[in-house]
This record gives sequence, structure tokens and C-alpha cells, in this order.
Amino acid sequence: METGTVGAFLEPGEKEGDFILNMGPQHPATHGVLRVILRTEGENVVDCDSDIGYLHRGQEKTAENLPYVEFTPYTDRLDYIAAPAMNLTWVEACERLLQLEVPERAKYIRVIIAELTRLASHLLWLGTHAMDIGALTLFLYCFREREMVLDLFEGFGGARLTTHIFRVGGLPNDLPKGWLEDLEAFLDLFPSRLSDYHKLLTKNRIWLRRTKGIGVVTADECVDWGLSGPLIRGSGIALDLRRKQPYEIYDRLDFDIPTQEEGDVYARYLVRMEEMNQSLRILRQCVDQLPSGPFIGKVPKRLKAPKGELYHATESPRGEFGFYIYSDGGTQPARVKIRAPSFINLQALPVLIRGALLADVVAVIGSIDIVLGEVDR
Amino acid sequence: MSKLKEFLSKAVAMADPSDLVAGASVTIKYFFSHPVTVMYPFEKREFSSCAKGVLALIPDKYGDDLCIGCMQCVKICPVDCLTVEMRKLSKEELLGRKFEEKKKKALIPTFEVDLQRCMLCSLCVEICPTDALEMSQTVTLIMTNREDQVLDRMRMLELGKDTQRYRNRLAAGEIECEAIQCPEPKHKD
Amino acid sequence: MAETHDKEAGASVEPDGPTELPQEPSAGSNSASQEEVGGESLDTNSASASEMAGGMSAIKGEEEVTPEGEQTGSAGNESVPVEAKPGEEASTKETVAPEEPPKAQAQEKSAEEASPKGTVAPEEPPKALPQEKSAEEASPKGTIAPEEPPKALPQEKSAEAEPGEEVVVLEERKPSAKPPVSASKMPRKTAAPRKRPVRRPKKVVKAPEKEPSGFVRDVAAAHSEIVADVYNRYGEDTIVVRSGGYHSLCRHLRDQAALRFDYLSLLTGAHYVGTEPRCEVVLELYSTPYNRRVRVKVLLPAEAPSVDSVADLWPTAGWQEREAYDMLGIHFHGHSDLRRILLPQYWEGHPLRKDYPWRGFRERSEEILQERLAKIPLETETKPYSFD
Ligand code: SF4
Ligand code: SF4
Repeated sequence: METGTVGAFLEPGEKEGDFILNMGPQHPATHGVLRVILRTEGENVVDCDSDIGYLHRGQEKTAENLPYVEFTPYTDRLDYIAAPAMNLTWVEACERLLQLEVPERAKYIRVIIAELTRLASHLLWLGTHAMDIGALTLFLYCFREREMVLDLFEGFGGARLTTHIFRVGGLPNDLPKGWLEDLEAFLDLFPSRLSDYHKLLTKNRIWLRRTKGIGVVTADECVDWGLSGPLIRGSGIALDLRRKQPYEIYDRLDFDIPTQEEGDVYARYLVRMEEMNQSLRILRQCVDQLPSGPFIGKVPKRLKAPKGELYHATESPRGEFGFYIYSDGGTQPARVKIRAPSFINLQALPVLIRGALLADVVAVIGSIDIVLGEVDR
Repeated sequence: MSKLKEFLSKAVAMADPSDLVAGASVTIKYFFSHPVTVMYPFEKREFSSCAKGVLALIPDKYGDDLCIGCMQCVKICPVDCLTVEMRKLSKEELLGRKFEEKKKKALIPTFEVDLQRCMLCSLCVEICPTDALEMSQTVTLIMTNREDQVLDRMRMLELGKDTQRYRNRLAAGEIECEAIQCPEPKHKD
Repeated sequence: MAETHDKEAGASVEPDGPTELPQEPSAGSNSASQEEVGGESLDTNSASASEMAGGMSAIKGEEEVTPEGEQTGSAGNESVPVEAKPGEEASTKETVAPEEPPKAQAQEKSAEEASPKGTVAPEEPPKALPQEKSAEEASPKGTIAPEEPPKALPQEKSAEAEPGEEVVVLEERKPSAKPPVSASKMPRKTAAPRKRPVRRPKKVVKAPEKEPSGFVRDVAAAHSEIVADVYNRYGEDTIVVRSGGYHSLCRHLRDQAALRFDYLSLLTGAHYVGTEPRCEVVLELYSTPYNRRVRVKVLLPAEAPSVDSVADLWPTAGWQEREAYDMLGIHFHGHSDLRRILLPQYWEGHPLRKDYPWRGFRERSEEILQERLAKIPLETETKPYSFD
């Protein structure tokens, strides 16, 4: 079969004034090494194609060659902004596959960490997205709060970014002394900071003009293109796996799934801001209900999964993150496929930026919230 | 008429400075607060007591390591960065040994960790049956060439001594470490 | 398949290079070294050897039921990844010889690989000997000759070894090992199956299976001519469909008012060892109105697998099919833009196929790269801009 050739991503148009514009892979607004090839008519973007794979490390092949436990630290490197969320999906998938029980306390702590991850990830998104559009101040404020969340990770798991914070069967250690108090201090502090962000952006006229009506995607398109996370919720479909197919203890918690109808960049902004609020609610409930008990269940030394396959997905900050694992009965999986939400959301970029102005491309890419480590795997 | 109304409402919205004032109030509020940053080379932040640094070998009271050469750490390491050699002691050696009370039946001539590969995942620390390994608090090991990045047993034991000292001080309450460093800026500028 | 295997075997430098069907070379070198080591250290610590033999046979008991052919396949499959690990060349020839007759070594490889973790009591170093990665070996008087994993520096090591000790270096062993092995292997295959010691069958964990959900059974009943199998494992329904009816079944699943699987979560391919047929395409479908999932599988042959594209039903399949093509070489008929997506366009081979070795496929030197680049016509050449 005829395959494409180097550089043959888009043909220049027929009309005069058509232009092929190459954006990235060193462009700071592409949040990594994404190369976008745009076909423009004047200022309007007509078509686009993405060139990805600059960060491809063969994670799936690696997973097929490592025992279940040993692949856990590698999952940190998928979505390095929200590493605990990746850990969580992997260990849960392994636990389902190996039929291990997880103690209650571990489940609660996992949810606490997962929601803190959502906060950290959304904070980084907010800062960089706002900076892309031109609000530089917010970047510094967001990083200040994100630093506190990372300090919490460091206090619990010992690392800040690539945390390796969960283990198959439970947790590596119990909460250290004083950690919950620190968390509560953070929970008390954060709402005021969140309102600061709202004050800076939500009603700001420049922000509104740069985001409202840009990158619109309808609900039907969202379903067709398999979008997930804030993208689909920003278009009016309340698809959140924490609610739809609850894992851990999410079915016992009381929280809302924020949605917006417009489906533009501004709607996604509002959805993510509200999600941070809901995460705070979840965190408070978890801290209140946190049971005592062991933090790791019984894990056999030699993990040998039965023959069979499963697909396990969780709601990462970017959307539906899942692992499809096929086990042939050995100590290692025979096939691992990573369902990366960024990869699939990025695919819809032509739908989102068709007809937009060139300057809006940055806003749209920022609102998809891609992490290239996850796109390229 | 409606157009005029629309225009007027737009004009009023444009003239209304409330959004800009709200934003400016935030920035002005933080303008008068203390900085939260740390002036790095002159000031260093404390790590949490769980922080995972370079791998260290914990010494026993004779200064020897606690490793029995079971190789479980070598086996579990996902990136294969540990090199352990074990030599079992023969009967004669066991009898004529210096420290008779030691239970160890093996010598560890080589214990190396390749820092270029190690991703500080602490799987090896958790699996070790004798708690011979530990993550130290050291993160800044500056080397000028690649060969130095392979820590040998002596250097790991040195790191382990520091770690032990740190843990002892922590247990004695001499130092305390908090998870959050800066919920509110603590230091003066 | 066969040709790729040959190619690799020729190309790879390491003795256990080919990831596929490794039982011949690797089991060969393994058993040979076992014999050799066994010959040398007959008076080895018999406690550890018997310990290990016990561990091995205990695990063997669990696999006893399966027929021979399948067993070798699975054993080969299982040992593939470990084979590829660094330090493994060392380990295959370092495994301590258990006092076992040389029968059925291929089958036991998997057991052997797994046995140390299960049997070794870490407090007692003598038992810990048969660790695979542990560069160590038992020699007659209980001294252990350190043998390096390849990453360490060999010169320093040999210098470090104290002169008074018995140091057995096993470096020269591997090439000479092959002929006796195949000889010893021949009778094993042809001879009548030997009697094995009767052991309690070990408890084998099974994947939890259930009756498939009602709607899946309805689909299977309505399309019995194209649905090959229906099952529910881990609470997830799976429909295995024949490749001819794949597209029409997908359309049915998407459009039927009672099904409405309108959201494609995941499309991927897979390539396995030990199953027949060896390739498959997997779809994870989600129904937004009914909040349920179903998995659709198509089994495909390993040679030139091809199947209809479903990108016309779910646009999101576009990139995922490109990725399946890129990684596994599955062709999707009717896909408008089947290019490589993650790997560069000039890449050769499909890395997620099991016959693509894990490492050491080819020295990817700059020259080869330039050679390949020169073959490819560059369509967008940079021309100096003229201002006329
Ligand atoms: S696991 Fe512990 S005792 Fe065993 S070899 Fe490693 S460091 Fe030594
Ligand atoms: S910390 Fe992880 S990567 Fe480093 S030596 Fe231990 S197991 Fe290996």
C-alpha cells in the first residue's frame, strides 16, 4: 500500500494567497513537541494536519516486556503533568486482572491523590493557557498553588512530578504524620485563590473576546470524534467516568459534573474551573470519611494473571484514560494498549480550528489541554 | 432602534471598568505580599522526610552493609540499573570471621547503582528483605563525567550514613519536616 | 512469519536475539549450559539444587494438562520478554544446573524463569542462587564467581576478583553449546512421554466468566453467520466477529436504536504468539444513551492482515487505525489516509508485532538513515524565495 512520504502532510491550495504554515515542533504554545501544519487563506485557517511522534518511546512495547508491577513507574512518563492519574489507571487495571482486593483506606487516599492531581493538572493548564492568550500574571499565581499540591505529593510519595505514588494492591506507605493537616490547610486556602483566578479572567473583556465562540464543537461531533473530558462536557454531554462507571469510591461521594452548552474555548475554561471546585468538595468529603486500617492488601509475590483481556478506564484530568490489557496467562501482559485522551482529542483539531483565525489556533490547542508524553506514548 | 440599543449596551459594557478593576485588585493585593519564591543557590528549601533521593546502602554498626545478596532488588528493578555481586562465605571463613555475632553469610564485593538509569521508583527499596537499601535525601550529586554516575558500594554506604543520621535526628525530634513548605510565605524578604 | 524469523536469526548478533520462537536457540543454549555446569559442579550444594527442582516441578504441575505443542508455544511466548532483558545472555548460561534429567526443558523454561521468586527464601543466601538476573553461579566449594551483566565494566571486575578465590568465568561457553543440545533434544520429542511424578494439581486462577448480557446474545443470535463467539470475562462483553461481517456488524451496533454504540473508546490491533489466528483488531464501544460497553474483536491472519475501516462510522477511528497500521501493519480498507503516524514515514517494520525484536534490530547508523532518506522523494523542498 502506498504510504505517505516525508513532509507530504498538506498540499498547498489552488488559490492565490493560500499558504502552508508550519507551527512547531519548537513552538512554545504547542505545549511540547507538536507540529501542526496549517493551510491558511489569508488569516483564516482552512485545514490542518498534525505531525506527532516526536516523543514516541514505545511505552506499549515496554509494557509487554515487563512484569505488571514493574511497569507502574513507566506510566508516570505518559502524562507527566498528571502522573498519579496514570498510575491509578494502571494499578486498578492490574488489580482487576489479578483479582486483588484493595483496602478501604487505600481507596480513599487514592481518590484524594487523584483529585489533587486534577487540581495540579488544571492549574498548570490554566496558567499556560492564559499565558498563551496573553495573561501572564495568572501563570505565576497558578504555579504557586500547584507547587503546594506538588509539596503534598512529595510529602506522601517522595517525588513531585513522576511520582510512582500507587502500588498494585494499595499504597507504598501510609499518610505521614501531619499530612492531613497540611491538606486541610491547603483546602482552606485554595478557594480564595480560585476566586482570584475568576476575578482575573472570567469577566475580563480581552479574555472573553479571545475565547468566546472560538473552537466550537457540537455535542454530536464530540461523540463522533470520541472526545472526552472537559471537551465533551463543555459541549453539553455529562460524560464523566467517575459518575458513569464509578471506580474506587466515587459512587459514595457527592459531587456534580459541570457542563456547558456552548462548546467553545470559554465553555471548556468554565468547565475546568468548576471541576476544580468539585475536586475540592470531593477532597473535603474524603478527608472527613477517611477510615483507618491497612494501606496495602495482600499481594502475592509472583503476579501471574489469568488468561483474558480487559479494558479499564478512568477519568484523568484530560478525559477517558484507559488501558486495554491482554494477558496470555504469564507474568507479563501480552498486549497493552494505552487509550490516551490527548491523542484522541488532538485528532479533532481540524474540526475545532476550521475557519478560525490564525491567532486562535493557540487558544484552541491550549483548550484541548494536550500533553505530548501521552499523545506519543 | 434595536441596533442603537445594542450599540448603547455594548458601549456601556465597554465603559464599565468593573472587570479590569477586579483583576487589578488581585494583582495589587499580591503586590504588597511577601514573595513565595526561594532564592535558590543562597537559600535551599527543605525536602519532606519522605523525599526520594539517590539510592543509599544503610550501614550496620560495623559499617558493613546489611545486604545478603538475595538479588531481589536486581530482579525487580525495571531499568536494570543495579549491579550486585555476592560471594558466599565458606565454612572456614565463617568461623574465622571478625565479627562473629553477625548473621550475614555472604559478602557483597560489588554493589553499584547507575544513576543515569535509575528513576528513583523505590521498588528495590520496598522489596529488600533486610532493609539494606534506602532512598537518601541527597538529590544534587554533581559529576563531571559519566563514569562517576555509577555509584559504587562505598559511596552508597556514605550516603547511607547521612541518611541514617538524618533519620535519627528526625526520630529524636531535632528536625521537623512538613509536607507543605509554603501555604503562606513564612520567610521574610 | 517464517521469513522474518529467518531474517532476524541471521541479522541478530546475540544468541538469543530473535524474540519469536525462542525455544530452539535459547532453550538450546540454556540446556547446554546446564549440562556443562552440571558436569562441573556435580557436588554442588545439593540442598539448593533440589530446592530449585522442587520449585520447578511444583509450577510444572499447573501446566501439566495442556498438550505438548501448545505448551511449548506458551513457554516460548512467556520467555520472550525475559530473553530480551540485558544481562540475559549471562543469565541463560548461568542458571545453576538442577538435578533434573534433561527432559522437557523447553516447557520448563517458563517455570524456571518464575521459580526463583516463588521459592527463594530471602533470608538464606544459599537458596537464592538460582536467580536469573543475578550474575552469579555456584561453584563446588560454595564460592560464587561473579559474572557481569553486560552493562558493567568487565575489565574492572576481573581485576577486582581476588586471586585466592575460585573464579569460574563462563564467557566462552555459549557458542560451543549448540550441537549437543539439539542432539539431546531429538529423542525427547520422538520418545514416548515419560512418566512424571504425580503431584497435586495447583490451583489455577481463572478469569471470572459470566453469561454474556442479553443484548449481546441478541446480536449474536441475529447475526449468527458472522458472529464467531460471544463471551463475558471480567464483566466485559466481547463479540468475536468474522472479518467479512465486521463492518456491517459495527454499523448495526452503532445504528440500532436498542444498541446505539455511538462512542468509540478505543480501536487497536494486536499480534500474539501462540494463538491462531495471530492478529486481531479490537474495538471498545461505549453507548452514551445506555451507558454500557461492548468489545468487538476480529481475528486476522498474521500475513498481511487487512480489514475494513470503520472510520466512516466513527471518525475517531481515523488516527487509531493509522496507529494500528503503523505499529502492527494491519491494513484498513477504505481508510482515506493510511500513513504512519507515530513513527517516521521511512521506518521499516511494525514494532508492536511480536516478531519485531525488542532491541538490537539493526544498527541505526547515520549512513543507513541517510541512505533511506535519499530514496524518499521530498515533496516540499525548500526553495530560495525570489522577490520577482
Ligand atoms: S534486595 Fe536487599 S538484601 Fe537482597 S540483594 Fe538487594 S539490597 Fe541485598
Ligand atoms: S529506585 Fe527503581 S530504578 Fe532505581 S535502582 Fe531501585 S528499582 Fe531500579
